[in-house]
Amino acid sequence: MLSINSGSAVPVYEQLKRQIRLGIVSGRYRQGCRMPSIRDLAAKLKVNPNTIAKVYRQLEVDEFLVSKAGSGFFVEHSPEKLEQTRGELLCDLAEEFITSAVELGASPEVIKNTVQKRLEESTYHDKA
Amino acid sequence: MIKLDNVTCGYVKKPVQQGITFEIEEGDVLMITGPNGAGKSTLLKVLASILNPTAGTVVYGWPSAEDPRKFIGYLPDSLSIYRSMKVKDLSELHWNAFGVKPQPLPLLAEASIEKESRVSELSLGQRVIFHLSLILSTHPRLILIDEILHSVDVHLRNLALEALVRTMADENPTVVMVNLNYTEIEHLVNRVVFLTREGILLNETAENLTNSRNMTLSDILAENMNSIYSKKRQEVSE
Repeated sequence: MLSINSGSAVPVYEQLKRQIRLGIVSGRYRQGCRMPSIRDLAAKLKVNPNTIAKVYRQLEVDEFLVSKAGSGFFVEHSPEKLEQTRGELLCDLAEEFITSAVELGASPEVIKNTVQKRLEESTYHDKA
Repeated sequence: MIKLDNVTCGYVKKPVQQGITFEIEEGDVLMITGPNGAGKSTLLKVLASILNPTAGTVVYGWPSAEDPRKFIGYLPDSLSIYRSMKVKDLSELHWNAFGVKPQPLPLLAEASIEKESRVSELSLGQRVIFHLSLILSTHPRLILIDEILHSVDVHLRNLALEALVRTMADENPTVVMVNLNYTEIEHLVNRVVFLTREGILLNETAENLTNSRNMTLSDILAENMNSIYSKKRQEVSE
C-alpha cells in the first residue's frame, strides 16, 4: 500500500517514486500488474492528481512502467533493469547508514566490523 | 486565468484589504491563508463575484458577457441555505439555476443524507457535504471553498476531500481554498497566498517554497503565522 509520510521534508513526488520503485524491485508490484489509477490514488492519498501523473510519467521514462491508452499504467521492466535498480537502492541504503554512523562518531573500521558482525549473527542470510 | 488587479474590498470607509494584485492560473489549486481578520473570506467572496470590490478589477478567463457565477462553485464558511426545504427540492432548485440535468449525488448516501430530509434536520457536517455535492454536480470551472474542514468530522472530511480530488482529476478545475489547517491539504495545493492585514506577505508556488527551505509546506506556513503573532506580542508589550 502506498502511503505518505506527511512530516517528512522529502517531497511527495520523491516519496512516491521511491516507494513504487522499491515495490517493483521487491516484487510487490509484479510484471504486468496494473497500477492504481491516478484518480483513485490521488483521492486516497489527498495528493494533487498532477503530482501522481508526474510520478507515473517519470517511472515510464525510467522504464519501470508503460502507459496503455485508456487503461492506465502497467508494470513493465527488463530483468537487467531490476538488478541495476536493486544495486542502486542498496547503495542508497548504505549511504544513509554510513552518514548516520559517521554522525555517531564511528570510524570506518568500526563501521565495517559492526556490519560484518551483524551479518554473521543475523538470521536474514539463511533466507537469502 | 483569473486576474486580480489592485483590488480593494470590504467596507468603503474601512477597507479590509487594499491594492491586492495576483493571478491564478487555470487548474491551479491555491490556498489562501493568514491570521484571522486578514480578509481571507472577504477576498473569497470577491472571487465568488458575490461581493464587488470597492476599487480595482477581477477578470475571469472566460467569456465576459456571461455571468461569472455560472462557472463558479462557492462553499461559504457559514451555510445559510434554505433550511426549511427538503434535500431533493433544494437539489432541483440548484440544478435549475445552473441549467444542469438532475443527477444522482453519490456523496449523500455515503454521508447518510436522506433525500426527504429537511436541510434543518441535517448536521452541520452533513450540510457541508450536501452543499459540496451540489456544487460539484454543476462542474464548475472555479471552485471556492471557505474552511471546508471546519466543524466536519474526520469521516465526512475524508469523503469531502476525496470527492474534491476526483473532480480535480476528472475536470481540472481551478480551486481556491481558504484554510487554516495546513496538513490536510498541503499536498493538494500548488500555490499559496499568505494574507496579513497589511496585504500579501507571500505569493509563491508550493514547489518553490518547499525546495528553498527543505521543510514541509505546513511547517513553513506555521512558521510564518508564528512570526506574525510574536511580532504582535512584542508590539503590545512595548
